[in-house]
Amino acid sequence: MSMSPKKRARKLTPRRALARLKGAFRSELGIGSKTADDLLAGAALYDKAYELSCLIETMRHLRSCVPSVAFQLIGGSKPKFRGKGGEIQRGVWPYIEMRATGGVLAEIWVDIECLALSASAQKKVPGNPPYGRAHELDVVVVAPNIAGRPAPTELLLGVEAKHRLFNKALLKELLGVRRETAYKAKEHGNPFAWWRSSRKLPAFPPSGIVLFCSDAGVSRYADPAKFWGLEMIYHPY
Amino acid sequence: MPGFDDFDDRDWRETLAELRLMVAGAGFGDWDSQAAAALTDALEGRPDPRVQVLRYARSFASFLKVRSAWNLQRLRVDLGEILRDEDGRPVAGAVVVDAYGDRTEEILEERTSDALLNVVEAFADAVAGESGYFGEEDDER
Repeated sequence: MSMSPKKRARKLTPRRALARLKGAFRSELGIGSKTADDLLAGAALYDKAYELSCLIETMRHLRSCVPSVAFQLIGGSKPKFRGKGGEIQRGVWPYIEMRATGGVLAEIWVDIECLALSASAQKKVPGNPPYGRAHELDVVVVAPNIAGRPAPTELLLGVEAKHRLFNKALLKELLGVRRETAYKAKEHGNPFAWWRSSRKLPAFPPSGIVLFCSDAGVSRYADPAKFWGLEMIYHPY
Repeated sequence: MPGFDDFDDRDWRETLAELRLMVAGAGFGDWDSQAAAALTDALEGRPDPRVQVLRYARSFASFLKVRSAWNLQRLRVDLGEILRDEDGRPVAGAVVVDAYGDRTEEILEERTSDALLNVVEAFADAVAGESGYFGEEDDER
């Protein structure tokens, strides 16, 4: 007759706790069996899934500005995110049209490099790669039918998605993007600035910059963002 | 039950360092460096290393959750509800193309189970003292 074994709990040490975690990492992510390239590609999917959720969230907010709006994907059956940002290339990458009764109000593109204000002011043409003359944004809302890297005057909204614990370095990055897309100015109208009841922004050109961040601590960094007219939204998982 | 009560500060610091290496070695190096920067931002006086391990682990669990089976399904539904293709059909997925342009991955495809997320959450609960347990048991015959 078999007897059920008694369970004896072992003292937990850092080594045992970490061994259990390591086992889960190894078996679930395929560490040791997958190539390093596969591991990095798999890890990137978490950030892109968050970007996708922010794209959806952006469309929902835009609908609050124009309730009758419809979003239609053009040039493909699925949105295509890029591992490296680039230009608006119609016919190469799918994009989203924001349509209302009167026609196309705006276009939404993902992973787009926008021309920096400093490059634009110096009449510098960004090369390939553009280095500091253009900056990538995860999602952009732009005027219809533009091509290449949107100029500051063509950008309506830029969205950054940070599935990270927020920190000062990320704030600096965001403030840098704001400084390179608009001057601080008296309030100017932007019909898609859903977070402002006035639909006006303290920026010229009056583009909006929005951050979605999965860390509740992002609100601790809100003061400089508020000054520059940046919108920081806690978008958790 | 084996728990974390016997850990001293040195054990916690070692645990955080090992956990960071594990996360970075699994391909999440950028996530790790940003998390470490956030922990440093929050330093005031002498930090409690157990609290740091807890914040790191909870945040990593939250990071993993975006690709949990439940959430991928929710993203599919949400995307289809708001976005249509040129034929008026709901859009059912999204892809990412790597920086070289020669590798495409489905963002909403389930490539792993939720087992890693569950283990990281169990670890964080135990660190917080909510479950008091994280480890194996030996058979004692």
